[in-house]
Formats: sequence, structure tokens, C-alpha cells
Amino acid sequence: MHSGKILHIDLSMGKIETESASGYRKEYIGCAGTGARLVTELVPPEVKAFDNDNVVAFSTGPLTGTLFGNKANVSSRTPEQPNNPFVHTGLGGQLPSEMRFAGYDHILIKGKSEYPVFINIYNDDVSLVDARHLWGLDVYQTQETIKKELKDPDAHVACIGRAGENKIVHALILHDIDNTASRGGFGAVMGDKNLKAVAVRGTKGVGVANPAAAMNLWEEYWNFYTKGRGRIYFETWKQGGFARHVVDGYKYRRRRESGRYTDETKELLKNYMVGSLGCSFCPLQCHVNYSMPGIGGGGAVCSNHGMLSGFPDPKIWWAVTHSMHKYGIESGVTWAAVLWLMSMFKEGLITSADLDGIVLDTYAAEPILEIVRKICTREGVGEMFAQGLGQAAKIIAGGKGYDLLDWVTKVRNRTSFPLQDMTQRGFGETGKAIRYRTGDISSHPFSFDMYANVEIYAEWTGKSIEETHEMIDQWADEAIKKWLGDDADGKLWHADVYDIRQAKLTVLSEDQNMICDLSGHCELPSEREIHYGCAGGFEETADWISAVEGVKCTVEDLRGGVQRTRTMIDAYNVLCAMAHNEVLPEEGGYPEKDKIRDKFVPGYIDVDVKKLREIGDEYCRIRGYDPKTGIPTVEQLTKLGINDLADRLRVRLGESS
Amino acid sequence: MKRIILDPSRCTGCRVCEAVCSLVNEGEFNPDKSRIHAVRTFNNGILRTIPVFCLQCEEPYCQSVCPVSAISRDDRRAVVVDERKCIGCKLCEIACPVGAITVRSDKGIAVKCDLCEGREEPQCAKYCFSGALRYMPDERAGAMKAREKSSKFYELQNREV
Repeated sequence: MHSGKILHIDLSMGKIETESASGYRKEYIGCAGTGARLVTELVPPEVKAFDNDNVVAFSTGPLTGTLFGNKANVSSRTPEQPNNPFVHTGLGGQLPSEMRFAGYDHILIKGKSEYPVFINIYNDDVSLVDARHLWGLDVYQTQETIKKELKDPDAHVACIGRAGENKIVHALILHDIDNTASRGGFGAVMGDKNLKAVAVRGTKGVGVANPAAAMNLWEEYWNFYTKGRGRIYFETWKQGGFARHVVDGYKYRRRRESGRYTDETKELLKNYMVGSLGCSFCPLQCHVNYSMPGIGGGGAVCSNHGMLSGFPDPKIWWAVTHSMHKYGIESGVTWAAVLWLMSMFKEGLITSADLDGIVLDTYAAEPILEIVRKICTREGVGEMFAQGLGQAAKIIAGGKGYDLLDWVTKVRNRTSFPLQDMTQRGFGETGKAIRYRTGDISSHPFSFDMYANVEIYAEWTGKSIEETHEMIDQWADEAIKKWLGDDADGKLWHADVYDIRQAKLTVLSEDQNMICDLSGHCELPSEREIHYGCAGGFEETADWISAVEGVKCTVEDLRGGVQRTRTMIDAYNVLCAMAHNEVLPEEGGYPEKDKIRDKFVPGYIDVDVKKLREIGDEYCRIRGYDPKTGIPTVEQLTKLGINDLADRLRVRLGESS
Repeated sequence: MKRIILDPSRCTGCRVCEAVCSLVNEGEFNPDKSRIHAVRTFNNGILRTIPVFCLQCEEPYCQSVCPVSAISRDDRRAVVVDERKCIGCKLCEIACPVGAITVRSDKGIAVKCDLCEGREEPQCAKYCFSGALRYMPDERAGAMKAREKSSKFYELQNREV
């Protein structure tokens, strides 16, 4: 049943072709898996992000467009990192489902148009449309104009703003109010291709091989959320609850450290939340639709709210975040840029002369908005951010003998979410440290971070804080026993515990996360597998695919797809690094210091590098990687049938030795 | 008699109603074939979603204009289309004041909500997480709304005290 098409668009040649996607189904499942295979087949490692031959892929999975899935992945070679590796990032909202309703599993875009265009897709009709009049519009104006011109308010449009047009490497792709493909700087890649937007409308639907089985699975899902154990999850995370979990969760941590806590998130939601936003067919609708007088309406997701946790005035937070959305730039990293400029200003390391006359000494809206505008338009001081925070840190801080680069590269090099990174104080930290070996944390291991939300759960259940802690302990225990056996317990989730079994736990939680990327359902509801220790996750995803496609899908199929995809991406990125003469770490890229966070990041943790290496070695053994380098072995690539990359890696490793 | 009651203020725009309806009635996920449509409108960065569906009018225009008497009311008071009689003329589509009946090109006949005939209750209402759609007796619809509004007054009263 998963017989969608791959749509190939060459912007240089103006060529539009299609082929069947079914050949990739068994090995790579779909979505990020097949997307990664297609991009790595089509784009040689020597290519750079802004080369003509680079490809941007919008990919959906077998569950996208169903009641159990709404996700696409966007993948390409990223301009954010020096060697331009392959990165994929999630895109939710309505557009992914609409792609499948139009009959396309993947849209692959290569080449560069001579002038700005947008791609218009209505089922089988695909065309390139002149978008010169759209160049310079913000993301909301762009969507509105395209819908009006197409005379179709139900068209779904993903587009770039001025940041993408100006090839700022942290530019994102946005659709609807706040659904974004954030990581990877793919807005800049679209801008480089002179591609302003992709508009999709489909009326064909997604066929279901066994509707009765799908309905039974939906009934189970619904019962879990409304009557079962998932109700606490649904009730506290839905429609604005997400904001409280993120913001108050941070604050709970901080309160433990500083004794400070307020209820301002509740006030923010009460006063300015006008509704919820989210993805097609998802009951959570976890994004918040805000509107503030004098600023306007828009949406905010988890990472946007992360910034709010330490911000003194929600109105200024909203004015700046809203502005970032309109420019189409990733807000986490842009906020980080603003904040370290502010801290340097306060410490006297830079002055207004360094910032085109802007005085950046308070949390006032105007100077911050002006900095954001300059970053997104490459004007004056903003130009140095065009190549990313790392480059800017070299220019502005390095020249003054102030070492910000160390922090920036640690945080930035591996992820677009520095703020999210800071919050990962549980097991995820250990998992990420292991993954630093190979660099790809596009799909990172889950952490068991429910303790941060203890006050919210206590409020909802009416239990005391102590009782709620016990309840969460029980969830952690049950989840870990399900995966690792009865002799394991919830302490294995904790960052300060070192246990060799954490290697297997990392693999399992990475796989759990990545099956969402391959099948097309969101990782947020699937996290209940580990957060609540209940049925779901692997088995549920396999059952849904079987019901929708009519071909038996097993957990082994899914985990095989994950292993194959992950190994392929890791090997490909090694080849990208070698093609661009990057020196590979001899010892697998472990942190050199005992701490993997430094003074700029509050709440850092100590890392026992020796113990971490032991876990990392075990992780490599399970994954089929060389423990010394963290690189997939040629034997493992061959075993998984990734022969093209196995051959290339064999040659390149032979050359380098 | 029961009917589907809509409280637009509760709708979160999740579109589960569309997906469930098309799965149950068409065996596929396809909002364009759903009998209920979650109509989304953007205005100044604010999204509003209103589910539009057949209100089972007391005097259905679709029934009045049907030239072949293909539309009737069943014993659950659902306005239903007799597929054997329908000629696909589209008069019903033109007459419907809310756009809840469509002549589908793939079937060549009019398609509309029949309150999920053969099932205990309409599936869109059953699976509406936010409670924006509820299936309940006529007489309870007003009472429910009155109760909800009275609780708002109560809150206001308490705040003033």
C-alpha cells in the first residue's frame, strides 16, 4: 500500500520527474530512512551545502497522514557545520500529510533556479512558479500571498523568510504558524537554490489495507490517552501544557538551585494564549497560539518556550521570538547569539561601537529586535553571523582574547538546540556524550526527564510532591525493566550513574526515537513508552504499519531500518569529513575535560570520561562500530547491504592510513 | 432524539474528526472524503478551526430540492441519501446552507453525514478529545451550555468577592 512516488525536481534544468518509492521500503522503512538513502545516493561526499548538486529532500513515512502519524523529515547537506555533513530534521504540521494525500512520499529538489520560484503541487500537477514578487516577504506574508494567488486557502505552504534568502546558515523552513524544519539551516539551502516555497495540496488520501485493524489500534490509542495511564500525559501536555512543562520544568530545576519560583507561565497562558496549534490528527496540539497587543499573533513550540524560562519579561520574549519566526531563523541559536552579545556587553568586552551603535545592556525589545534584524539581513554587525555562531565567536570574541569558541563549538557543532541541550541532565547526557563520537545526533536518545515536571503532575493528580516523586520513580523502574530485565532499575536513567547496560539503553532509546523518524509519527506521544512504562512504541508502530500497508511489519524490521539508516548516515558523514580534509579524532571524540559543560551553561554535570569510554566501547560493539574511532566498520556496512559506502570507506580509510 | 452538538470554543483544530470519519466511512485517511470538515482560517497569526458538518436540519433544503426524492429522514432523525435513487444532480449541494453535502466525482452521488448509521454513535463525536463535538439528546444541548455559562458567572462572582 505504501506506493507513493518520489518527485524529482531539478531547478537548474526546470525538470520535473517521478519514480516509485516502493523499492526502498523494506530496508529503510520511509521518511528519514529512505530520505537519507536517497540523498546519500544522489549527493557525493565532496559536494558542499551550497553546491548545485546538493539536494533538499522532504520525506514522509508509511504512517504520515494517518491517525498515528503526521511527520515529515527534511534532509540535506547542512551549511551549519564546516564539513557540511548530512543532517535530517523533523517537520510537523499539516504539510507532511498533505504530501501523502497528493501521492508523494518524497520531494527531492536539486539545482538552482535563475530567479526565485516556488513549487506548486496539486496532486499530479507540479509546476515551478515565478516568485520574484515574493522575495523579501516574511514567512506569513509569503504563505498568505501564495494561497491567495492559487485561490486555495487549503493549500499548505512551507517557505523561507529573509534569513533563508540571505543564506544565514541557521535559517529554517516554516509552514503554517510555527511548524518548522529547524535543524540544519535548510532555509539557507532553499535560499541558495532560489526556492522561496513549496505549496502542496492533495486530495487522494492515504489508503488503508486493513481499516478494521487500524480502527482497533486507534481505539487502544484513544483509550490509553483518555482512560488509561496516558491520561496524565495528555491532560498535562496538551494545549499549552507543553509550555508549562518546558518553562516550569526549567524553573523547578532552577528553584532547586536558587529557591526562586513563580507562576508566570500560568499567567502568560491565561492572558495571551488564544488557542493551540499542532500537527494533523494529533490530539495533543502541543504548540501555543499566542496573541499580544501591539505585537501580533503567532505560535511557539517547546524550544521557543525554553528561552522564556530565564527571561524577565514575557512580552519582550514574545516580540523577539515572533520577529525571529517572521524572518525564518532558528530561534534557539539566535537567542543564544543575542544573549552572549549581551553578556559580553555587560562585562565590557564589547561596546556599542562593535554593534553599529546599538546599546545592548538591558532586556529591552528595541535593541534586541535591531540585532535580530541585522543578523537576518546580513547588515553591519549581523554579517558576521551569516556563517553561524562559531564563525561569529571567532570574529567578535577571538579578536578580544575572549574564548567563546570553545563553548560555541561544543554546543553548536552537534545540534541546533543549545538551549534544549542544556536541559538534558538525565540519561540523555550520557547517550549524547557517546554519540559525540560520530557526530550525528539528529536523532538522539530519550532521556527520562519527568522529575522536572513533578510539580505539574502533583498539581494534576492532587498528590504531594513526595508521592509524585514515588510515582515517577515507579514509571522509571517499569520502563527500564521492560527494556533491560528485572534486575535493572530506574537509576540507570541518571547521568551520575555509570553502568555498562547504559550502552544497550542508549541503543534502545535511540532506536525508539528514530522509528518515529522512519515511520512518520511524532516522537512526543511515543515517548510514553519510556515515560510511562506502558505498551506502545516499537510494537505499536509495527502494528500500525502492518494495518495501513497490509504487509507484515515487525519490530525487527523497524530496528533493522534504524540500524541501517544510522550506520549509513554515520559512515556518509565520515566520508564528508574526509572529503573536506577534516582530521578525524583518533580517540572517538570524547570530551577532553572532565566536564562537558563549562561556566557559560548553568547546571553543568561532571563526566567520568574513563567510565564513559567503557560504556561507549560497548555501544560501538552493539552498533558494529570501531571502538577506537567511533566509525562504522566496513564489515558492518557490508553486512547491512550498504555496499557503496562500504567500498568508499574502505578506500578512504586505506588512503588515510 | 440525539444529535451532534458543537462547541466551537473547545475545538483545538486537531482534525481527528476528519481522519476518523474517512477511515470509518471510506476505509482510508482522506479529509477530502470526510463527511465533516475542519475548516481552518488564519487571521493575523491566529488560527481558528470550525468543524462543519450536517446539522440534520428540521426542514432540510437538500431534501426539499431533490428531484428524485433520494433524501429522507431515518428513525434516528438523520437526513440520509438513498444511493440507489441519487442521480448526482448537485441541487442538494447548491441548496445546503452550510456546505455539508457534496456530490463526489468518484461515486457520482451525494455524500453526507448519516450519524454513522449502524454504529452506536457518530465516530467524530466519540473520538473528539476536546469535547467540541458531543452526541447527546436535543433537550440536553441547551441545558449543558447553560450549566457551563453559569459556572463562568460563579467564577466571576467569586473573583469580585
